[in-house]
Amino acid sequence: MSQGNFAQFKLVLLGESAVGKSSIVHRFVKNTFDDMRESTIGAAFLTQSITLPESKTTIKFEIWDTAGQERYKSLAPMYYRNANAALCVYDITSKASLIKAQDWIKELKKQAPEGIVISLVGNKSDLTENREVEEGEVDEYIRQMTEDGSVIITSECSAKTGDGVLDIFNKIGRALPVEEAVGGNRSRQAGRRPGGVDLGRTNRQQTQSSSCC
Amino acid sequence: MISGYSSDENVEELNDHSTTQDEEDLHNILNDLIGHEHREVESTPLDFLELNIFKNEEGSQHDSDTNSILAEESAKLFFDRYIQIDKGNDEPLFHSKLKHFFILSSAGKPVYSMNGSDDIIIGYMGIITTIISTFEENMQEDIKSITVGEDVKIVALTKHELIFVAITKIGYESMSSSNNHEEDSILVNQLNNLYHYLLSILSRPTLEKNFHNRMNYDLRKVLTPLDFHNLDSLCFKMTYGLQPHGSDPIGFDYFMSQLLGSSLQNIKMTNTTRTQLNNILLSSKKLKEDKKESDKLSSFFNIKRDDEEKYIAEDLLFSFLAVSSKILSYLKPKNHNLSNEDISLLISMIESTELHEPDSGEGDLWMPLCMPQFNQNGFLYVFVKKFMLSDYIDTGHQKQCPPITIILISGNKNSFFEMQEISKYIIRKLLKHESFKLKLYKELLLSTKLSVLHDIKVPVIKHFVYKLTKTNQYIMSDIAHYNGERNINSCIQLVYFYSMLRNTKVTKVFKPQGSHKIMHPFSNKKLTYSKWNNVTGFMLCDDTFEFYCLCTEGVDSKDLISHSLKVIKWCEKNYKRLFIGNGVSF
Repeated sequence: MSQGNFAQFKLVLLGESAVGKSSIVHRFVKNTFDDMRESTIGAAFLTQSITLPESKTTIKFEIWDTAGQERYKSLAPMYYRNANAALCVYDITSKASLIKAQDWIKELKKQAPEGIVISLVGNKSDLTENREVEEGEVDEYIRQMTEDGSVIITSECSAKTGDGVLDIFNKIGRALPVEEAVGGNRSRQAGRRPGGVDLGRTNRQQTQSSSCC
Repeated sequence: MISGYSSDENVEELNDHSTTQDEEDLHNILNDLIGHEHREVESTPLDFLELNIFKNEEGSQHDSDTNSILAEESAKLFFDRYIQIDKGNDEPLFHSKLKHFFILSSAGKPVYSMNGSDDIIIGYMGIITTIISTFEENMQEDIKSITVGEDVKIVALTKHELIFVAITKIGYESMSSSNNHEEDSILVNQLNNLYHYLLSILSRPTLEKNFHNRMNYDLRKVLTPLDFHNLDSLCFKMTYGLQPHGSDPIGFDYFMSQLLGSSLQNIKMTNTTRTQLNNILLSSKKLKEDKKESDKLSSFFNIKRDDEEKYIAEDLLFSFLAVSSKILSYLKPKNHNLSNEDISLLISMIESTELHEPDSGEGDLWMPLCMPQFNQNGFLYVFVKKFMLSDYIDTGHQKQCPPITIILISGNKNSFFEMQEISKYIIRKLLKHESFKLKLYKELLLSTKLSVLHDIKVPVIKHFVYKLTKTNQYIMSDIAHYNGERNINSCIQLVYFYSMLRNTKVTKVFKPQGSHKIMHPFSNKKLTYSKWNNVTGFMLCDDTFEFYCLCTEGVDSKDLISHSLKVIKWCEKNYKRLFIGNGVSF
């Protein structure tokens, strides 16, 4: 680790079906886009790394791309329980999908580990003529949600054109407790679940609460 | 071990080229059957329209004798009009479709229709519910099937709150089989497959609970676009052996598997290689935690650990190594098994996730799936990883073997990372020895293309299927050898011929009393024969196997028998290479 630092974080994507979670992931991981992408069954696990030039840190994201369908909802806690970051995705052409994304934020605030980096992402920014969600509306919601001092990263992107996708992951990378992770390699290991050892929530919360943000 | 198949004595006899008594007997019977018919038919590439497979449809015979470009054109027109799935609002087009599937709730709410828009189908949903409930109320009996005239057959299956209906105008589906199969069994099976698909994604309790709460429940709300896509794909491949809107007949494997009674297709592989793969799966089950890392972890979390080491694969129930839809190796617990139906559902589901991304190698999937025959009340969790062996081999040339799919099934929804660990272990093992890696690669390159010409050298046989009755597993030759092409045309023909062959009345072969030369001790042979324009179909089976083949035109009955027996003997001799048997147990 003489040349820069390395940290590993878990990230989960949540949101209504068909808002483009898998498309965002595939744009980020493989820089590809498929208009005909099928809906995800259960969840897919992928990895991708970014480098933050200012701190010379390489961040490896372990990404859970979850299915948006209601019937998989009961599985969601398994994915965000260990997550360091969450992307709540909505489709800017669907108001209903924003409400769903807000529900996820609510659930994360209640159930997810303390200190999880939450991001609200509006996808399909290329479809401006069908826009149903105005940025002002999102800003107002964020203002209310962050009155308690918490932070929610917001952004818009288009998985189709690639606009703003990498930006989201860079923003999240900067918000993550990188120093801590690099220092003791702690949160990196806390995120892992090697065989059979049940990492109880209490333990993890201790490690999480000591992180910054 | 299959009785008497692999003893040296038999192999000796199998290689014996002199005509055995059996062969002669069979030849005589076949000759009686044919009535010494010997027709020379002009040898032209066959088009499915010329076969008149789909009777009584306008246009099916058009232009068949004009030039081939026109024939191709009319085949495409016919296909689009009568076969291809269409969800549009065009009512005449809807009525021209040869096959329909409907799923609806017993309250009459449509869940799925293979063809037609909601506007078109909604009226029919009402009619179907009326007919079915009238039967139920007046006769206290579930309606099973209705035949309209000679051409249309309607089969219904009711499962609690759901009604499944198939309507077919296809001759090979609606004709009642003269064999022992239960009447309409093919269509009823198709409906059961649709039901099992819904169970696999929802499980029985979810279905029940939803409908219990509200009779008027709209099941469509919980289905994803992928589910509708999968239902389309199921309907299409069960009927035609094809994928909707695709040109590669990758649905044919599934079709044959269904036709043979949920038989499982295997892949040819030498016994040593298969044993090694089995051993890798078996050893992965015994994989233990890396002690160093877990010690670090437990001290970090102050977790008191038991002295005994933990097995990573504790929750692992079943493992598969597969190539496309064919199983290479299978690991299971001693006291449990997955049925062929469940395995085929699993494979279909995995195939459906990658239709649009053949390069999905990087992502690991984790999906809940209910295996209806294993346990319809709960979910198992399926880990799927694609692995390109070619990436690790410096082959020089461009040949790539298809990816190996690692499928690990766990009973615990939180065990993803354990399964991922096991998959990494399996890959490490596959790559560990250079010689094994290369051997596996070479065998995989060949395995998907079983050739009647190269492997077995039986020129008169264009395509064959061999099923081992005991384990209900089958192999068949590459579809490419049938017409020289793997295309829709060849596929529809094979589907038709094999369906007809299955429906043809069989002749039982009785061994004459006092016959002293008996090849198979428990021989109970049956055979049947069919001839179409320029293709001859032949089936021979006994208690241990079923053999089906299609031959070139004007084949001599003597050649037909001797070449068929040659294939059968080849299969018997190579059965360890051809079939995975019961897999390996822990």
